[in-house]
Amino acid sequence: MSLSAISGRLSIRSKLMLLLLATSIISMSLTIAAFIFSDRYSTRQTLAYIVASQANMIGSSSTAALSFGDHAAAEEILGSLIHQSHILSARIYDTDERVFAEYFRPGISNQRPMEFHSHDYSFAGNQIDLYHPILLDDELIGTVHLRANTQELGAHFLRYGQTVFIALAISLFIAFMVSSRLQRTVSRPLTAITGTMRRVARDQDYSVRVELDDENSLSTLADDLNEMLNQIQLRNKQLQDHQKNLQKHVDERTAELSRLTEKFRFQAEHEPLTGLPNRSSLLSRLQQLLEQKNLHEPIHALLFLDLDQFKVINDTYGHEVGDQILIQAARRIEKCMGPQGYASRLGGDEFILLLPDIKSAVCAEETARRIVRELSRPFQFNAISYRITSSIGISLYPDDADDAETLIGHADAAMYKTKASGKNGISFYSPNLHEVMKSDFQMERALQKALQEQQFEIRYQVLLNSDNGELDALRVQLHWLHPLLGEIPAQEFLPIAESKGLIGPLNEWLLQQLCERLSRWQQAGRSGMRMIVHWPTLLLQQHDLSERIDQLLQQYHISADQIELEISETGIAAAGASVFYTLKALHKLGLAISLDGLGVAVLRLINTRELLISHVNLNSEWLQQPGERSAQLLNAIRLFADSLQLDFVVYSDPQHSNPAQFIKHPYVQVLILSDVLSAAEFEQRYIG
Amino acid sequence: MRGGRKHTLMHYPDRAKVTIYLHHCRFLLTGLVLLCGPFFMHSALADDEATREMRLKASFIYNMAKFVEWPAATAKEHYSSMSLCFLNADQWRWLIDESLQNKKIHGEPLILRYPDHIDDTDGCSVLFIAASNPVLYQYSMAHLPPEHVLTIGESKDFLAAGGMVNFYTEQNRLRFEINPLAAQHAGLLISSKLLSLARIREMPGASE
Repeated sequence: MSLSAISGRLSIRSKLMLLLLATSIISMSLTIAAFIFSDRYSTRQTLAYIVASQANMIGSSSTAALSFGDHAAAEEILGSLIHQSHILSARIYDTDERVFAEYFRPGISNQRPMEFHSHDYSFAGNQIDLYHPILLDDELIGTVHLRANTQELGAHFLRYGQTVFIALAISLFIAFMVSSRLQRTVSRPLTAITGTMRRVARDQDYSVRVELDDENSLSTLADDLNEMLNQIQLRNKQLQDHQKNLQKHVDERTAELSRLTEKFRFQAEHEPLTGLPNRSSLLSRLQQLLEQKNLHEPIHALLFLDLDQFKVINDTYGHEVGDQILIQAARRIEKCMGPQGYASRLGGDEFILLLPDIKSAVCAEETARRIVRELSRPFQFNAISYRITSSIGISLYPDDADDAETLIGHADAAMYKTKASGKNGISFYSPNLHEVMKSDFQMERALQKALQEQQFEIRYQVLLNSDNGELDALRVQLHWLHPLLGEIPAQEFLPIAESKGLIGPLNEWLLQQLCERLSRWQQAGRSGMRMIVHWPTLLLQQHDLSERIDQLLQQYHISADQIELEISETGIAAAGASVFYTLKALHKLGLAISLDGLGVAVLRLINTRELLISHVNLNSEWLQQPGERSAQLLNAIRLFADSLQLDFVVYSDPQHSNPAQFIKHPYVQVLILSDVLSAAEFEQRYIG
Repeated sequence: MRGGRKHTLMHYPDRAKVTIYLHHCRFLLTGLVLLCGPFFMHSALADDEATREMRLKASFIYNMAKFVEWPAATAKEHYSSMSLCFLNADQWRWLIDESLQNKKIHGEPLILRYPDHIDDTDGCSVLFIAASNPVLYQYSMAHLPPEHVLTIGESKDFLAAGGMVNFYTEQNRLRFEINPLAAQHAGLLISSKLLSLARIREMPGASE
């Protein structure tokens, strides 16, 4: 196990202790080792010095003995070494290296042979050998050799080591005490800090704080930590408040949104004025109702309600009054319908009411009559009473139809029947063609469908030349083959098509069909055929009509004189100037244009046995454009008057030239018109 | 020196062998000495004895000079030219010259003088009076220089006559005796080391 692994498991406290102790042990050991080495060296040096001084003393003392060859004296001098316990043996050599005198410490055998050396001193084992020259008057007269025991040194070291060991032990104990005291100042705050951090991390409790007794640098750290916790706690609280606010905000917005959604849904499903469901809501409700599969066959009634003369009230009293009447009417209708009923407004003054699951038609009739009765009561608005009546048509499921659209259409048709029969009442639908045709709603949809599905058929009336019996032209007739109602003649559907704006596409389709047919017949060898088509005056207002016809003619290689457009006198009389530009263009193109029904009104008046009129007033316009045409017209009128023995009166404007100078005929009387006068002016001028 | 020591050490075993060899030849050697002894012994031994003694004395005299301090006023004079004077020692002149020639004291060469008479001893630092001529010896003893001269003799009464150092033989060994008071009177200081080797005989006022 590595050191770091061990230290990793120790607490901060133990680590610090260990660190401090290890530091003190290492530093002390180093110091002691240095001291020991230094001491050992210096002790040796000291010993060598001591022995050298002794050798010097011996040498100095023995100079005389040596120089006078007095062995006894020399040995006596050496004998004085007995007081020096560390001196094991001593010798004095003469200049010939012979032993002059010697000394051995009693009780110590001579371990090593003593030999002459010139060394100053040498250490061997526990002994030191020292050689010192004996000089007399700068002349070498011999050498002293001392052998000393260094065990004194060893004992010294032992004592030294004991002292050091005791000192080491004491200082370690002191170091332990001091470090345990010191580490407390470090480890205790650290433990407190880490403990706090752990608690914060575990409990997510930011209100915990580090508490230290004393002031030091770690308490600054603890203060910083506390400050940080303060900040976090503050932020946390702010965050929570913010979240609460946000949640509140979101809830508010969600509620508002759902309110708005509800409002929009309501607006989408209801019409704004009366607050009743609109047409699409009714349709989906009806569809839903019809799709339900029940054990018993339910009866549903659909009521189509229209307020009579509502347009008059609206025009007379203004929209404000009209709207108020609609709102009040809606409330009354709802009241009459009861909880099961479903009232909706189509727009304008039309309502569709649904009575689901009724027992019989009688119930529907009762409800409808109640509504008519209720709506006939006067409406109060701004202290003024308004009277209005209503017409209701009723269709029944499943007797009259089993789909929503048809049920609505039938109820509409029944409503028209009520209107036709004097209004302010109710009618049940009965399958009658005329009623269907009078239903604009039905007709419009049917016509659109007919155009898409080409339910129209073109038929031809052949015109034969009365002289030679040859084919002169084909008069075109348009027939509508309705899949359910059968054949519907043009005079019945064309006015409706005209009023609903469907006549344009219809005639365009017709013209194209005719050109294609002519082209086909030409290819079959029957060229130069002429076709006569009735052309509504309304369509002559299309300024690009001639171009489009020209385009068709060129496309099918048909010459212009093969088409004849038949226009009606009544239409032309009421038409604007643009019609004449179109007619001019068509004429220029080469198309034949015929006037149909000239003098129909005149003919009806004079076609009786007795004449119902006394005279004919001629518009002065007839005479305003003098010229050949005008003269011809006057001749024709004169002839006409003569033949029928009718008087003609011409009102002449005094500002224009007197027509009497052009017309000289017993049956034509010219009267001159004055300015327009008030009664007073007249009385003043002609009576007073 | 070092080489020599080594040499000695190396031949130590050989020396043991020689000793053993000599031990074996002990009887033969003893026989040779007994046979040749009567012819050489006297002259050789007598000569050796006297010469050896004289050689030793010369050496002693020289060494003594090293353990004596002369008064500061005369010290320079003495140390620069120390004269060792040998009176009545003509017969040993060769030996003394041989022993002490080229020796130095306090770094200065010695001057060896052999005066014929005690009156010729001016300038001597050390004066040795040999006893070879008893008349001259007695005379010289009676006229010892008053101061600044270390006087050495070789008779029992020399110290009593005012001499400072006297050789004598004890147990066949050459020894010397000193009268420190005489030296003190003469203004000389004798080292305790020298005194520790000598027999001290204090004879105050003997020189008068």
